[in-house]
Amino acid sequence: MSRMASFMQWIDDRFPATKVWNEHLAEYYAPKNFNFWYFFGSLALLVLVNQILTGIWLTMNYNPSGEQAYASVEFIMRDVDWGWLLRYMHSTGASAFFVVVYLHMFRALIYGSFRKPRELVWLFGMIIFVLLMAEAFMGYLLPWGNMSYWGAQVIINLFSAVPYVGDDLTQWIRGDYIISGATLNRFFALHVVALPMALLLMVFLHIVALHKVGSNNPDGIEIKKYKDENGIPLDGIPFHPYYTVKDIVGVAVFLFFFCLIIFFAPDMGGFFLEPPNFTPADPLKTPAHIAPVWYFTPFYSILRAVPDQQLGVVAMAASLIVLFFLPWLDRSKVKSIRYKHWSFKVWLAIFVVSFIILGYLGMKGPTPMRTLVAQICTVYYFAFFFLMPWWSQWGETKPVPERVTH
Amino acid sequence: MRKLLIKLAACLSFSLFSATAMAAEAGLTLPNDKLPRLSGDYLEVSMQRGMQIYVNNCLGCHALAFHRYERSATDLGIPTDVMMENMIFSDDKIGDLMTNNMNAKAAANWFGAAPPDLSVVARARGTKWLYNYFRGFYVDDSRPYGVNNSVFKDVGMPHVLEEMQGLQAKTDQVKNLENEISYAQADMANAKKQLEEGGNSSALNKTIREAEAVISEAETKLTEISEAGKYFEIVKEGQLSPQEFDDAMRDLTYFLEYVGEPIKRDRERLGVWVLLFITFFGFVAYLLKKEYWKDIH
Amino acid sequence: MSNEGVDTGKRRFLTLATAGVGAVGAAFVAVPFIGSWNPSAKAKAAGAPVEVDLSKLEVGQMVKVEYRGKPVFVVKRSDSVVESLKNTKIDLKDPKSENPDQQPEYVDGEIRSIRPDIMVLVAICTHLGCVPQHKKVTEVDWGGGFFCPCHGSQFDLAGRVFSGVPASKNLEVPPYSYLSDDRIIIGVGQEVA
Repeated sequence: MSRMASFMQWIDDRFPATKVWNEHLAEYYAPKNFNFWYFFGSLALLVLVNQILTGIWLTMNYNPSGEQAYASVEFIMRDVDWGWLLRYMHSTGASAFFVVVYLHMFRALIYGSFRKPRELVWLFGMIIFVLLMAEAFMGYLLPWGNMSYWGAQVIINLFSAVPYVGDDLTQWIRGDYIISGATLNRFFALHVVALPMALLLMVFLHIVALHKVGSNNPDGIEIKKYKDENGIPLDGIPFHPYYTVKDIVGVAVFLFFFCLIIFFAPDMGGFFLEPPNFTPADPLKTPAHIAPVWYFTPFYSILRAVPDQQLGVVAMAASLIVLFFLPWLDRSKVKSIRYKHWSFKVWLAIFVVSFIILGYLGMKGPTPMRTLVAQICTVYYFAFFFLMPWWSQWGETKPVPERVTH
Repeated sequence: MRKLLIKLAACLSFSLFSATAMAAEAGLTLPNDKLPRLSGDYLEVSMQRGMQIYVNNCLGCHALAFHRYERSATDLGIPTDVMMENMIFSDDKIGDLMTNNMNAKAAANWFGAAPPDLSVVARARGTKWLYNYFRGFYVDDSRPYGVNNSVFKDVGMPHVLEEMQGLQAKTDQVKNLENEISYAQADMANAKKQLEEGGNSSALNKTIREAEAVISEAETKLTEISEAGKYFEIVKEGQLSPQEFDDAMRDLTYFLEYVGEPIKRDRERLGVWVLLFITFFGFVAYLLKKEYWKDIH
Repeated sequence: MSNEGVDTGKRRFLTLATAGVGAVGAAFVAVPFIGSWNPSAKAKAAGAPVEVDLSKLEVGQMVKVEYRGKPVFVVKRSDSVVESLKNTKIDLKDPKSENPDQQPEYVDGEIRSIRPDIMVLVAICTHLGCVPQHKKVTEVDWGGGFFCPCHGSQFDLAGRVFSGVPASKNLEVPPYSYLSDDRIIIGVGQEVA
């Protein structure tokens, strides 16, 4: 036995290094027909690493106090060597995270990746999504700009819609009568310690669950059905090296656009860093127009579309909760858009359009006309999910092939 | 007070028809001229001149408390001794932050609000806004300092650069058009009120439509006048000609843009190399992927 | 899937090429993370060179200034003190200042200064980092110098450490230079001719 092999043997006797490597990479068989939509899972992982590393480095100079937070961010931007780059990597990374996660979820939607037996993969993923929203929301308070401040003010006040205890609850969340240094401190602790740990745990479970059942694919069929004499799926290829080398290309393309934004448009015309946030938090002066960052706006639109405070909050919460039930709402005989009845494409297309319209409207101030449009889109959003058990069974499905098409 | 604020925020977020004034839709402010573009050495010289204007006229009240003299010296190519002699008037050292000794409370008393720190104002307001704001002071006897600003209405700040610019006033044509607009707005508000109280809807709606037409026509004319440079007329000569003053305000704007994000020019230079490297990496990675995937295809 | 006709040489080359370019990229990514640990502009400004005006300094007196957060003593010595330092009778550990870490190369090894009368020292005891006290020639019977209250280390007026005390190195002379006859700047070294 060579020296290297005996060293690995020594490790393997004590820790399943080779076993883990094989089970999750070298002998993890993924369908060979992955397309463009399958890049976003690994990209989400990349962005997560980026956020954690740059985040740790930012905490080295950030000061989570009401008096110093805003100044310490400018200190990072100017006085710390390379601080500007670390901060832009983190702020752009936040938006990039949602870009890849939305695309990743859309992939699941079109290929039915949440369907049996992948319900838990979807549920873990949904928990990640909600945690990510909490993480992004709390992170947005930290620069302590005026938009941070009032954005947090508005969102925390959502909890005042809770019957009986609402006002006490918001006060408890803030730890003060207004948003103050106390709020900032607890948000900082949650943002840098608690939520990242929860996120990492859920990402781990998401991947473990996925590797138990195996990946879905654009045809929405199970590759485990046909195996060769060694028990290897005929349509499967080892994740490593085939998908590692493919994902590296995806990473390069992603990094190109990521760096394009970091170096040439870090505030992305006000979408990623909002202009009012370059004014320090001022409890006496609300910015002329409060809008959440773009990734929250579809849900924010749903909130505003309902002409009642409590019902609005309920609608917004419902718009997230309904997503958890997706595996049981889709009753189609087939998983993939490729073999579903054409009516699915119509339902889906209108859904995508309404979601984007909701997102757009969430950035704009309300006018009667816009509110009406938002209401229509909100109704459609819920109709899409609530009526899915019926419409997903409409029409003839196309015959599903036995083996993946390539 | 706090309770009120919380209520206010709740209102803002929940009331559907609250008239939130939007930055982008805040109505017409004039002048609305584009900031003249500069690049390379011209830009750097412009920033240097802007800094000189700033330290002489603005720094006394508006600190740049996140920015260091030394950073400007390095980034704008100003030698240390020149900086020390011409730009630093206090006993500050070259490495110090560009602060001042103004008492915020006293200043709030004088001007109605403490003069804000302007380190990142260019990122909060945008350069175009700044350029027009600097050029928007005009005579208005109703204001405590005798001037108002057409871009930032009823601003508490006096016209600090009066010596340079002189004084300007809105031309009669502009005043007339603005009167037309305010009458039309009053008509419209009146009609809307009557409509709510159950007045004759067809007649009132007609009034509203007519008022809207008057407003939009007057605003178009005002924009044309402003674009022709005839929005204001000089009523008291300053040290600089109008063109020289515009150039000076352009320089001041470019300096504030620089202070807003000192790294900007460097990051764009670096970005080009980063993108080239990533492209090269992507190309090699693509060849590798193609080679391995020969097995599959 | 087939492994026939695989050009293993090409495959190996491309794998190494991608890994190599990737490693270079990773090194580039590391730059901001490592670079951000350097002293910030704020720390550098606080640690900027300090100018000292010598015109009001009397013979035998000392001024204390702060440079990079450390106390620096500037002492004006009389001619007789300088003479006695050159021909010292005290037993010193390093009388010729042969340890190059403790002073810039442009100061004399015995009197340890650029101009004989002006002594500049970082007032941090080389034993365990306490701030020594300045003792005038007239105050003590050992010729004057610096006495560390923590563990009793003694140094002469050139900052040279006595034998038989806990400290083993001479007091450090910081880099400094003359701006004019009466002004020195601590932190900017004199260019070696």
